[in-house]
Amino acid sequence: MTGEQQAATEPTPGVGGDRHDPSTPRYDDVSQLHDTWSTPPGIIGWLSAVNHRTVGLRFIITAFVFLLLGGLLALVMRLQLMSPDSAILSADRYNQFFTLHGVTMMFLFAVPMAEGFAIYVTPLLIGTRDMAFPRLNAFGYYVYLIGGVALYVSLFLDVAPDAGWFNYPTLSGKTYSPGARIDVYTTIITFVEVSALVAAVELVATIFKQRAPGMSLSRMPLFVWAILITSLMILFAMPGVIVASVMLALDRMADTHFFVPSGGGDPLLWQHLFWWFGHPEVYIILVPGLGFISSIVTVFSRRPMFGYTAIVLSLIATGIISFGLWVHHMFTTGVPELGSSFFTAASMLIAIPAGVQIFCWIATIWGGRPVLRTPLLFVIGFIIVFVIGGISGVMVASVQFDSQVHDTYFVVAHLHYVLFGGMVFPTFGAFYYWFPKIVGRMLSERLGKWNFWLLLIGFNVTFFPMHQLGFKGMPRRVYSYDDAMGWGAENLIATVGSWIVAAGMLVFIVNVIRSWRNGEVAGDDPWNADSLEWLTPSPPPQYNFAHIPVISSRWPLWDQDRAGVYDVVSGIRSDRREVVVTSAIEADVQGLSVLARPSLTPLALALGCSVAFVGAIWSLIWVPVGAVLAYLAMAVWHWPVHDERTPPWRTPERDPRLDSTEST
Amino acid sequence: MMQVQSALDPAGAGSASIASLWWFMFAIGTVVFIGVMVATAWAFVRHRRATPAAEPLAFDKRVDDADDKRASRVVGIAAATTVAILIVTFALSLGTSRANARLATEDGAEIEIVGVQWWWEVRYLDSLPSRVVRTANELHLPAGRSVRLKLRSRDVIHSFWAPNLHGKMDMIPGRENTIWVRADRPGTYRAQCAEFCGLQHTRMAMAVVIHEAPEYDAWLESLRAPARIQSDSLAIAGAAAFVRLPCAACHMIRGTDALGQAGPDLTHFARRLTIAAGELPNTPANLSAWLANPQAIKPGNHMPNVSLSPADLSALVAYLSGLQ
Amino acid sequence: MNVRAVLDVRTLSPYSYRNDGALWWGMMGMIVIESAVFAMLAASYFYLKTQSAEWPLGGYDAPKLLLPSINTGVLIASSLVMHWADKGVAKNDQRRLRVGMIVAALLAAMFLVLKYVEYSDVPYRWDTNAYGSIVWTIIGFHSVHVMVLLAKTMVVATLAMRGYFDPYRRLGVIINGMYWHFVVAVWIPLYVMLYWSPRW
Ligand code: HEA
Ligand code: HEA
Ligand code: HEC
Ligand code: CUA
Ligand SMILES: [Cu+2]
Repeated sequence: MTGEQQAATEPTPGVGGDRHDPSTPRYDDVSQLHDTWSTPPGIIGWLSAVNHRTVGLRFIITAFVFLLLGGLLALVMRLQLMSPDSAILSADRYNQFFTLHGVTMMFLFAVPMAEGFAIYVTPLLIGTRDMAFPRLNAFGYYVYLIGGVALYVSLFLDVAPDAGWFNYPTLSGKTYSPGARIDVYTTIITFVEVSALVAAVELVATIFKQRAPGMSLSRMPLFVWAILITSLMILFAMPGVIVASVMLALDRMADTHFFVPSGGGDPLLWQHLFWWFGHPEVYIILVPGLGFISSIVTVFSRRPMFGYTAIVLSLIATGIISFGLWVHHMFTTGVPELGSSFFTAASMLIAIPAGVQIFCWIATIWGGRPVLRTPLLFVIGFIIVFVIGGISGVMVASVQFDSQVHDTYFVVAHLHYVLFGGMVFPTFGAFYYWFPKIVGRMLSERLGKWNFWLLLIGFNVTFFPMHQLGFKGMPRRVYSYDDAMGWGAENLIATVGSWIVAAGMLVFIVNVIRSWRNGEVAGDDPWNADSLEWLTPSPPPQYNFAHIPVISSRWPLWDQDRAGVYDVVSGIRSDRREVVVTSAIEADVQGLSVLARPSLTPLALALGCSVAFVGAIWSLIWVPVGAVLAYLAMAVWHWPVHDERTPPWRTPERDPRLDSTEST
Repeated sequence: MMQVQSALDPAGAGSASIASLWWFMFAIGTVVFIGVMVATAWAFVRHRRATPAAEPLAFDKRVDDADDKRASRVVGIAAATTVAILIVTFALSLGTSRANARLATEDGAEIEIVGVQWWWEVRYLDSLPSRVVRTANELHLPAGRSVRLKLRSRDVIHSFWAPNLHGKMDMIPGRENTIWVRADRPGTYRAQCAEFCGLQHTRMAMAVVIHEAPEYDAWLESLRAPARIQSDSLAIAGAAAFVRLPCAACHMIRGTDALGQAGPDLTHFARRLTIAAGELPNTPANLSAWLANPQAIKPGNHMPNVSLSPADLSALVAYLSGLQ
Repeated sequence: MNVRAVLDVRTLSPYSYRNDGALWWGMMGMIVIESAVFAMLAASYFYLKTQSAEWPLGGYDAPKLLLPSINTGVLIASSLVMHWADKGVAKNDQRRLRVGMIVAALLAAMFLVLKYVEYSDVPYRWDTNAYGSIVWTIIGFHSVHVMVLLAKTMVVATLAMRGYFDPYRRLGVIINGMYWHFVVAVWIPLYVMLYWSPRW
């Protein structure tokens, strides 16, 4: 470094760029930041976008579309079940519908929706400019999109999976399910899980290494904690279903005998592998929802969260215990009594962290000055619905009780209460809470109230009677029933309720469309919130923050006096995508990292994988073809690129170790 | 005829103990739910007067330390209560398991039920192989005696569930599961398949008939007899048609040349209450409709439409209806 | 918004090559996932074993030990060589890097050839019974990993030939090495499980 530049590195009040010579690197130049971080224009630019907010928003919108599609399937199913012996759907179609409904909601809506928010909001909440591996991010999205679209195409080609979302062999084996339907299932599931895994790796790396200086783990927002725990759970859980799917695919295509009893295999092996994943999966869906709730409760009670530490510990406990519950989905398979009692105990244990969090939220509201805006309404909805679902969960954790209600509408009621309560209500709260940040305009409060009440009432009307149906012996996954069974009234009520839910969804859509154009302008921080995303304009600029904040509190926007000045980092180059790297626990500054620029390689890699995976449903020829394509894309991806605007990597004024290989 | 199913109207020891477990958990659950709701409502109502609805969202830094102390205490108590409730629930749940495990006895009768897409094969076992009797699509049990049900599957996973009688248990290919049941109240109940088993999972049910014990023994003895020889000419024609047509390839009628195993045993078909695994009441008209077009009545089931002349059809109906 | 610069990072180095940078965490994430996959396969192996009266199923002998044991040695050797090459580039010894990478790759290739030899001779196939299924799947899955190693190393080696790496710019080598060592390390428990556990 020249002496002159050295001098410029002294901390100076206020921050500016050195604008003079274009050949020397420039620092903290806001106008240049804009160019550096924007996505190129045009369709190519659109396909090559890697910015976390672009990718995150794409996840959110796509996942919402899948919610509507999955919901639409449910509405048709409800019409079919509205009255005895109706013939709107054939048995065959109904089986495809409920399978697709479950798969869509679990894999294409709930997990990606949470990921979308995580990808969009996490970097803002932790004060960085993008995720650690932007291209991987884009890859994850394309994989998800292609997988989801392929699944719905299969419905129109009449090859949609039809053995339920947990797809038990031997029914799903090749003897009892010939044809391509189950192959579509194994392929799409594996494919979509890859997307979740990629996002998880990336969120973990970003959260550990890119928090704003000073944001030690103990100052991390609860939402970020929730995402961290979720991501770690994904890493350990998803491989279960991937291994199971691959084994099933081999059973079907290569005549192996993993699940075939006559060849020494065991159909229960599938159940163990699937639920090893499947149970954590439901908490993978729940925990981000708990994160939404924590954010909203803090802001709308207008006080710091009561019991921050207790909540963090509860989240961690939930994450760990959730790996010890899987057998509670298999109580009726004849597992030994002693073993199942262990799983009963573990399942009841997990009610404790859930309860502690709910108590802490209530205490926060009680000790604060709550303002009943729409996001907080959804928190109330969450508490009502989730507690009912949680209590019915504790009930079904009892082996003997479960032996009565397992695989009946009682369980259908339980799973919707916890999923809708634990995931859908918080997500709607998050929509209302973060919409102003994402779009720059407020959603209408008036429509928001309609939205809320229709969902709350509609939901309970739909699903409460299902408990009763369970006791009356209505099994799940039946396409019809006889009048004499006496299930007509409850089913009719449930169907009416499902249309009230649909009306609530429509109100939301109307609200979004109206507010997107004409909503009240939000400003940087319409809620007077506590966390960093509200420090920057709405919607945030390409580079998120003009200056990276330095944190000294758990509630930075509340504790750092608004009227005063904010502490920030200086000396970040604005001519390339540089972010600050900090230590994993204390978030002390360690260095800088240069992130990847927009690129088409993620799309190319996703296409290569699609050819291999989706092609395999029809012919194994496609596997090598796709693998070669993917390999080429990977090679290009990892080939070091020199940023032409960056001086050669051995520039004298920088540390010679400067590595111009862009990170992944 | 068959009673409407209900897990809460027990006719057997298993569902009785589970129903009482349920009522206990229901009571506790209601209390917990109301407790949480009241706490939530109170958390809001406390501020009613202090906070005008239209107030701007200004951040209120003041956290009342005394308040938080109180809250800590209440949260602590609530958590401890949660733990206590869970322990009690766990203990009761375990107790119910024990109670139902005690239904096992040394010398109980054994009945094997095999799930098949989409019907049930039922075998009344006996230590003497010659006394084992194979039938289908209906389960008879003695009141007041513990019976061991051995559950197996021929193809995919099914689950045997008679809500009024006992909890369900899966039938898994390659394994044998066991439940001990004790029926207490004579009557006719319904059982059905609870695990999704493919296209006609919906229509896989059967009647469960509970007799007084002596009556049951007599009934079982009579079941061991081969098919009744009928003298009515139409029925004789039917018996001939049955072996001439493909029927015999799939169905067994003991005492005749029909030895098929693929479909339900029909030796005493006329005694059954239903046709095709609970699908239709067993009347001659329904039987005729079933034989004429089983695929219309239970689409996709594994009995093909066999084209029958009207004469064959009425002969078969007469014959099968006579198989008391 | 008024800001005050309290922390200047101008002189800090790009961090990504250090061993707890984001990329390191990313690679760890990848390794956790892959380990979980192998763990699931191993759990399935033991599950099937406990469900069966005999193991290997079908009355076959437990697999022979000699060839796979030698082969395991070959694989471990490749890892050592790779490590040696890594250390070479740290000292800016370009020759050592090139030679090391090529030798490691040759050893890995040899491992694959020996595996091929071994498995062209076993009496059961994947479609014989569940034992064959799980063994062949694990071997196949691991071998695919070794192939991926070779493919990855081809890219890195090409760069090495062009003299791209030096003591400061060797992230590619480090990451390649990490994955290499993982694929070798994961083989060792698999080896014990596949070749020794049937004898227990
Ligand atoms: C978001 C998803 C989610 C969540 C959070 C839960 C939460 C729980 N679930 Fe649920 N579950 C599902 C999604 C979820 N579940 C799904 C999708 C299925 C069906 C899968 C299928 O078959 O398709 C299922 C099925 C399922 C089964 C198998 C049923 C069967 O198939 O027969 C069981 C059995 O133990 C169970 C138990 C529990 C328990 C004990 C909890 C606990 O975590 C609940 C804890 C929460 C509370 C208890 C409320 C808050 C606590 C308090 C207010 C404290 C006071 C409370 C007490 C003293 C009780 N669940
Ligand atoms: C997050 C998860 C989630 C969500 C939100 C839902 C939402 C709903 N579910 Fe779902 N459900 C599951 C997860 C979920 N479900 C799972 C995992 C299963 C088990 C599957 C299996 O057994 O394999 C299941 C099973 C299941 C069943 C049992 C099927 C059976 O066993 O036979 C039923 C039956 O009523 C049902 C109904 C509904 C209804 C009415 C809704 C409603 O709440 C839906 C609300 C949404 C809408 C109503 C959409 C609104 C649409 C519009 C406004 C129109 C938009 C216009 C266009 C797209 C053009 N679900
Ligand atoms: C390919 C095999 C096959 C053939 C041929 C066949 N059946 Fe069946 N049959 C079945 C199966 C399988 C069922 C059970 C269907 C179900 O409930 O899902 C069945 C059910 C029945 C039932 C009802 C049994 C009960 O317990 O409720 C009757 C009666 C019957 N068949 C009579 C006949 C007659 C008469 C013929 C010849 C005209 C015939 N079957 C030909 C396979 C066959
Ligand atoms: Cu048999 Cu469902
Ligand atoms: Cu679970």
